[in-house]
Amino acid sequence: MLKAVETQPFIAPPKVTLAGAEYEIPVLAPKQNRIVVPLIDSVFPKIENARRKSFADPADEKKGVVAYRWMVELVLNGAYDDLCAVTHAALTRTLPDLTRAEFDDWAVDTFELLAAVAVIARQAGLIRDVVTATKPSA
Amino acid sequence: MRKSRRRRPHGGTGRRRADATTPLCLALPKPNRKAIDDGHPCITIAGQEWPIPPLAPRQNRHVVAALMRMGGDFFAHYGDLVDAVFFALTRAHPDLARSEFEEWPIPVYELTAALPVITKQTGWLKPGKNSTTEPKPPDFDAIIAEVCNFRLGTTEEYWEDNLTGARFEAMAEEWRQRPPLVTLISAFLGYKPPPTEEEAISELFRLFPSGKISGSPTMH
Repeated sequence: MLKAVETQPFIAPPKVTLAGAEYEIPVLAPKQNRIVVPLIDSVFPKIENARRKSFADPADEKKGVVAYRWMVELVLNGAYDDLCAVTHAALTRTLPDLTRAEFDDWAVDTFELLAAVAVIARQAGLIRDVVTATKPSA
Repeated sequence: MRKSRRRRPHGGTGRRRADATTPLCLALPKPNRKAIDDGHPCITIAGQEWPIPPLAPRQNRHVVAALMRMGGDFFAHYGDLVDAVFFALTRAHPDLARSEFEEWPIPVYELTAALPVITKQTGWLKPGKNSTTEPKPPDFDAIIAEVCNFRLGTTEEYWEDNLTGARFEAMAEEWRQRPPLVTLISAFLGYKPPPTEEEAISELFRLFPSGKISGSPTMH
């Protein structure tokens, strides 16, 4: 009879794409989470508020101004700064020498930041994945 | 025989990635085997099990205060959450360095899952005790002073590492049933401690709530 797999399979850390390059985000440590956790807690309502405001008028969607307005709202309500702070803090896990000033000079797309925060929230342990171990092939 | 393999700090099984960088290559210290064998409850931190024996004032000074500050809001009080777990770990692992702990890969759900065990092991936070007044952490200096007064020959430093909540409760119960000699003599002589400066001032304000001495004092 086959026994259940006793060891955790090696799982490569997920990657985020920033400024067109890929970066691994391993499980974060308290050093990073100290910045990441409170900010993520407050940034999601801000993102949602900005989205709600931007999508308020369906006519704008046809004109293609929704995405632009969303960006503006994110900057105005401080969510953009929070997103940058969260992403920078998470990157310092693998790039401890990366300064915020350096990161601020990267050509990072706002949608890249939004996508990165979802990965970071998972790696901070705010979202828990149920991993079902599979027996590795011999 | 089944061999259990512990997860390494970088979340894998020990295989190091070619591009792994400094903070991910830290090795976790070994958990206190004796404390585990003694049957103390364990918490899982960084994928590894750590025993948490009943905490002493040296840990409780930080842990109880952090738990009280936190309330139920873990995210806004992440620093307190980390404080509570770190100081609880130092009970069985006194050499654990804070700077080292800060680099461990610890998901938030591991920290929050550890709280019920840590709360129980403080020995001072009892569930279901709802009080109308704002809870305050115990005054451990005063508690240790009381114990030293009744247990002559012992030192504050000794109780700092040995006075668990359960042990203090047992001593308090013993003193309730068979009061120490010093208490009996005090009662026999009718000794009452002089009021502290704070008590004297609050009594004055109670008598003269308006702050004016003219008029008759308020008697309750």
